[in-house]
Amino acid sequence: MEVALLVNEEEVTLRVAPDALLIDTLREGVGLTGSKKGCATGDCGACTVLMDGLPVTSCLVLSATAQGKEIVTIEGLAADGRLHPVQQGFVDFGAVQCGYCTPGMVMMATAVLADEPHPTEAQIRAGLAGNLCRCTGYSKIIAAVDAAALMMGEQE
Amino acid sequence: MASILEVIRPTELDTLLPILGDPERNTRVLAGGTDLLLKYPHEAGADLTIVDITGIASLAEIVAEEDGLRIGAAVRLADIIASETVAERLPVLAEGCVVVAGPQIRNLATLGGNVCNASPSADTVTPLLVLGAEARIRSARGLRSAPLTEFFVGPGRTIVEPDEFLEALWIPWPVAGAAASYTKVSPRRAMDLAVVGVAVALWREQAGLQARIALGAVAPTPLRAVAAEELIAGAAGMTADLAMQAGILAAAAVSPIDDVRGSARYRKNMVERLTTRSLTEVHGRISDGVV
Repeated sequence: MEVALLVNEEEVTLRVAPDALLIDTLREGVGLTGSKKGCATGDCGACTVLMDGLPVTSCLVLSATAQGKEIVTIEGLAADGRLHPVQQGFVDFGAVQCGYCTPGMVMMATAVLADEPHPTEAQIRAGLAGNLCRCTGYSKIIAAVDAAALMMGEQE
Repeated sequence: MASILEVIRPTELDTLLPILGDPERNTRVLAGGTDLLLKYPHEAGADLTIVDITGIASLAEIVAEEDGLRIGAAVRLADIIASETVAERLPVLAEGCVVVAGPQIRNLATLGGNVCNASPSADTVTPLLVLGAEARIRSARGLRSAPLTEFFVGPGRTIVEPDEFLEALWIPWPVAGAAASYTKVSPRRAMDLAVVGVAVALWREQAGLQARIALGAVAPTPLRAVAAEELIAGAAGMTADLAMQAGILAAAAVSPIDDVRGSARYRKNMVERLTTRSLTEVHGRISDGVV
């Protein structure tokens, strides 16, 4: 079946199998491999993208049901080659080790900050509760998101 | 092992109902997909016709009616959590929704889906039971209503027939001054199932205290602790002794199993203690409702 999506502000029309998952369509159909397929059961958050502005685990979305929706992936974050403050925070605070959780963490963090521009540590942790990291122990990720909140606050 | 033959996305109820009733198709209703997409590959049987109901506007509405709140089956858990009406008048439902999984899942998952998945530990169901919720079930044959206490038949099984779907949950407004709580025992703060779930609602009537107590993850279905409720009915107040006796009766009503998440003995113990603790805590928050 055909599905038409807006992906990172570009219209994309693809033929997909009825059982195609959005994570696979994005990675293999559209060629955007930034989103990762960590578990395929919605447990790890590595596949997190924004769908109509809301963070979702794209491994639990049938591509057929994403018809007409606006998707933002990690590739869509940096505007004109300049890192998004969350991305900059991850770089500055050493919050990336193997990098596999990173795109999902970053996408979820942007949603956390959109919802709550000045989050407490508890709010950051709750917001990232659906994202697993096996490497960092989370501390630097939380520091990065906290720093990004400050950066974004200064930009206002 | 079933695979997906087709995905149909009706925008009207009138289109949906004949599809569900079509004997030539093996239909599954899709809302958030957070359970269905994990389960369907393990089903035996004919290839599936997936019917996505999220495009039917009336199913995604939260409507305050005179006597209660109607929540469409396709309302996302995140939207229930964000609803001011729920926060003001039925906060225990939001307490259940907010401990389901994690934020990404709650942006997809729906109330109807969580109810129809019929896990004995479902965090939305234990609160719905103490709220006295009703299931509104529709097919081409018409609409029927059932108290949620009669909705679950066994783990993962409900009274919804193959040509029917759960259209909405309806919750009567609580009596003025009522209060409730939901407590989830779970090793992790997110992305985990309830090992034990305890919901309690208390209010005052002319005759005295009234209670509803619902328990999750401790029986083949979520259930109400009827004997404990009857003990409380008509009491002048929640004494420590009454709370303790009610806890004992609640624990006697459950039949938990040993599994990877906890032993039966631990679960019974927690039912008793959390029922007692919740009754005491909630009783401190009820009022006569007189303005």
